[in-house]
Amino acid sequence: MLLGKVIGTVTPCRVYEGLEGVPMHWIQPLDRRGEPKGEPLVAADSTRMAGPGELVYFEGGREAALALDPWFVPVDHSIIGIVDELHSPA
Amino acid sequence: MILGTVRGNIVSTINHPFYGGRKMLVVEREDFAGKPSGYLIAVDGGVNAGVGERVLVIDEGNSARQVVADPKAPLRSIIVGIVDRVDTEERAEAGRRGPAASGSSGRPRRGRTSSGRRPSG
Repeated sequence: MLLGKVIGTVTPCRVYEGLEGVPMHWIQPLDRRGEPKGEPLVAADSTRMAGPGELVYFEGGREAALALDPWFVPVDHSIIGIVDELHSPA
Repeated sequence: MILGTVRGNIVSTINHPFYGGRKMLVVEREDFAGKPSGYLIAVDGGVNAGVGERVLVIDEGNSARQVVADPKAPLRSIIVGIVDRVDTEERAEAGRRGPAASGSSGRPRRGRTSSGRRPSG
């Protein structure tokens, strides 16, 4: 699981069955100190509460799909939670 | 599995139900030579690892789900051990070459040859 910052929202008009109504956000992956690192990616939001600018943590692969309900959906990244506090000094 | 050092933690109240009340730690990964190589966020697997401790982390979903006995957990990285010492052939080799170097991860062995026996006489 990695840290990410929500930098935008993606609203599909047509989507694969099982993903209807699942919020999707643009995420900028971060390093452990919160600095941008790597390419932005689109992730489904299992919490359904993340908004632009928020610090989140996200998972990839099968775990991303498992975080959703129904879970057997074609998703490769999902926001797992929103960070209240990050303690990760240099 | 990977080796790493716990560098910090995360506090989060809005998250997937599985993560409710679980300790989430920021682990800095370490490569074979012991240098930092990236990080990951891992759940504490019951070993109560603290900041600064060197840990063993399972970084694969199926194994992680077995550790927590939850086949639906959206979990990939879990800390399953706290590491006391790492001995490798390379470092032992370095130990034999250099008088000061130790056979293990940095702590000199008091009064022992690099192969572990007490010097006779």
